[in-house]
Amino acid sequence: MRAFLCAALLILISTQAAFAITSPRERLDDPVLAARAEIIAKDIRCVVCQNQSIADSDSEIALGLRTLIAVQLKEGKSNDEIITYIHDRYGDFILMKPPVKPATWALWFGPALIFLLGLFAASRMMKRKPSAKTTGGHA
Amino acid sequence: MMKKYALYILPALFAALLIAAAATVLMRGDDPSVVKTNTHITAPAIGIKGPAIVNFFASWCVPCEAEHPTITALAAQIDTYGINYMDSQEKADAFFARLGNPYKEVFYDTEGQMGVEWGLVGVPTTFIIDSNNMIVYRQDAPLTPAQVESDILPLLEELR
Repeated sequence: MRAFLCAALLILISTQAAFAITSPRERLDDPVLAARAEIIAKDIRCVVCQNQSIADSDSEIALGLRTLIAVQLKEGKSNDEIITYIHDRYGDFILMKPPVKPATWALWFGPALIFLLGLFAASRMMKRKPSAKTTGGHA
Repeated sequence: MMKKYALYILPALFAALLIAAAATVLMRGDDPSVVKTNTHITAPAIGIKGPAIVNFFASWCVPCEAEHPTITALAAQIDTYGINYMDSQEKADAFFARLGNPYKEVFYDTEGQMGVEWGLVGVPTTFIIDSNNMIVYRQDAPLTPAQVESDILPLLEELR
């Protein structure tokens, strides 16, 4: 009984991450194209979701974008051409990894900068003599 | 003592910088959550000729209904095309019967595929295309009369 429950649970968990194919519109019979479609879809953000790629989302927009990818793959376009096409229309936010450029510097380097500031502050505070706290009092 | 206080002020300074950056765009009247993206690419071919306005709408979209009078006023000044998004012709007809049809022509995007080609995130979204069918303006929110007055009418004057 316990083994059966474990197996059922494992199946339940493992199916959660399945690639979301929800419509015949986006179906690609050629396995090579289907594999490329999945690679592209993993790089494209679902713009109405919370940090999901369109490969993981069931939303209408994700379905529309996957269909667009399928159509363009059948037309013989390269992965880069398709990503550029979508990037031109939706802007940097559509890419799961936005390009590094002056407008996105805060996004890429901001966290590291805040971490370094914190590290600097922490090291300064730890270097202080413990006795300073008791004798110095509040200014 | 001086040095210690300088250290404590750093996070406050950083926060003030972020607030100032956000406040300047807000004070200017822009909505910083609206990212202007696909301007200056050619509009997907749907058989129209610019300069024109292309407005995505749906009968299920309440902000579209709020925007409807603004679109109606604009349509008197420039060719205005509607794209009915993730909806149906019957529902769009009922919407027009209730509020009026301001559009020169209406296209039906029942599956949202045209939306993806235009880089649409939601409705209403309005595009302005120039005489070469280049997208020169985009708004991912309802147009307001104030905005038509300040931004759109001057832009249309330039496009003529």
